[in-house]
Amino acid sequence: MLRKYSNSRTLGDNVRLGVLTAFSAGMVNIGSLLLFFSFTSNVTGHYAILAAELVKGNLYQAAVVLGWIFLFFFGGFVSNMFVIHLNKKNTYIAHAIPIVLEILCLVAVGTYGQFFYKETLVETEVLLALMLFAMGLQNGLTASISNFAVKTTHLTGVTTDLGILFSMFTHKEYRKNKEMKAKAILLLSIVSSYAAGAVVAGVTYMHMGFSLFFVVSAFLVVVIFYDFYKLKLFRFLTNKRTKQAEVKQNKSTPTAFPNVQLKKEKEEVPVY
Amino acid sequence: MKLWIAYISIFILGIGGFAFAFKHVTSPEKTILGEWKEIDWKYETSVAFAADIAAASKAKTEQPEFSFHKAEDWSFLPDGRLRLVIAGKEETLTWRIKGRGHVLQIRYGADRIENYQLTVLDNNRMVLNAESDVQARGIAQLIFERKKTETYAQEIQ
Repeated sequence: MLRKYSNSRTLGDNVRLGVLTAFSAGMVNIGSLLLFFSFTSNVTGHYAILAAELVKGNLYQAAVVLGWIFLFFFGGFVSNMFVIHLNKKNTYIAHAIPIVLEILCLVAVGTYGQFFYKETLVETEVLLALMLFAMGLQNGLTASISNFAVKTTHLTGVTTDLGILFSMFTHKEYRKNKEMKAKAILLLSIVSSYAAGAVVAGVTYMHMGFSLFFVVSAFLVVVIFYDFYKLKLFRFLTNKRTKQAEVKQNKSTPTAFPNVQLKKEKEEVPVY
Repeated sequence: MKLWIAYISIFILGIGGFAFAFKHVTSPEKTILGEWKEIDWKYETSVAFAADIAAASKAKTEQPEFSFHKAEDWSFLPDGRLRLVIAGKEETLTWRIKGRGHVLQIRYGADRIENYQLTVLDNNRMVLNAESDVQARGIAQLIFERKKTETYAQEIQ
């Protein structure tokens, strides 16, 4: 999910990333709506609200909304900064850092809400700000590493694209187009996963309250550890193969200076 | 280097702008403090759902979705308590402001909550829209004016 970048990603990579992050975004959005009466995974509505508050002369509310929009923007900015500056050094780390930051934000919201929240307006605004920053991080990351194919925190673009794709499928030649089919699969996965996350959040909110954000964080931990596990597994298999090759070599070659030969082979093993 | 200076300058200016803005505007949590007199309430008769809500409230069903406290005095206290005068009797509830400062939440004990949209809130007037759905607007409206007596907000200043 996180190891590959841009065009080297497969449909499977994008679907896995899309499903898990869209599910998290759906949960966060409904969680914030039920707990704080405000959406956090998209900012289109916030732009409209900003305009409305300015027209009504509610400068306090306008400033709050502007701050939230900025934090969503800043989340995308920070995400892409990690991706473009660390990608060449270690792709996995570059892609995992924004998710780690997102988890930290959501755990902070869950912990504060569960143990310290006094329901003042300032607390509400700060917690919402953290969630908007977290969603900005997530959307920035998924869009950035998938060459803008995966956007999981809002469904406006996805729904539009699906509308276009399904109208294209009325033509026989487009129905056979593998790329279009793959895109439709990806978009449908994102939409259904987001909706499922929203429903699950609506149900779990009643029983869990702020602990809901720990569940969301757990999904994001899966995103991180899926690739971590894959990397470990790959390294384990590579080492195993190397050892088998060494044993084979030892059996077939004369005993003179075997260690020197083995050391050289070890150096040639690619390290990820 | 120049680019970074520009980025950081814009960032600092933005933060400064926010700090300035927040210092010079009053939070709805402070504006609402004090005594308010309910002068009117109306609901949109064209919305069948709203009429149902109002009818349910008037009929005093066991759990009406909203309480329409006609002709009451509302005192918002800074510790989150709301003192209502209902037919000469005093009742104490709790209040909170949610969202970006646009939702007034009133709690009756542990299990009953009413949410109102703060459509207008200034020094003299408050308009609450009672809603049963976050996306719907204008179902029923409660209109208040600040009591002419010295307000609680002024007292604590």
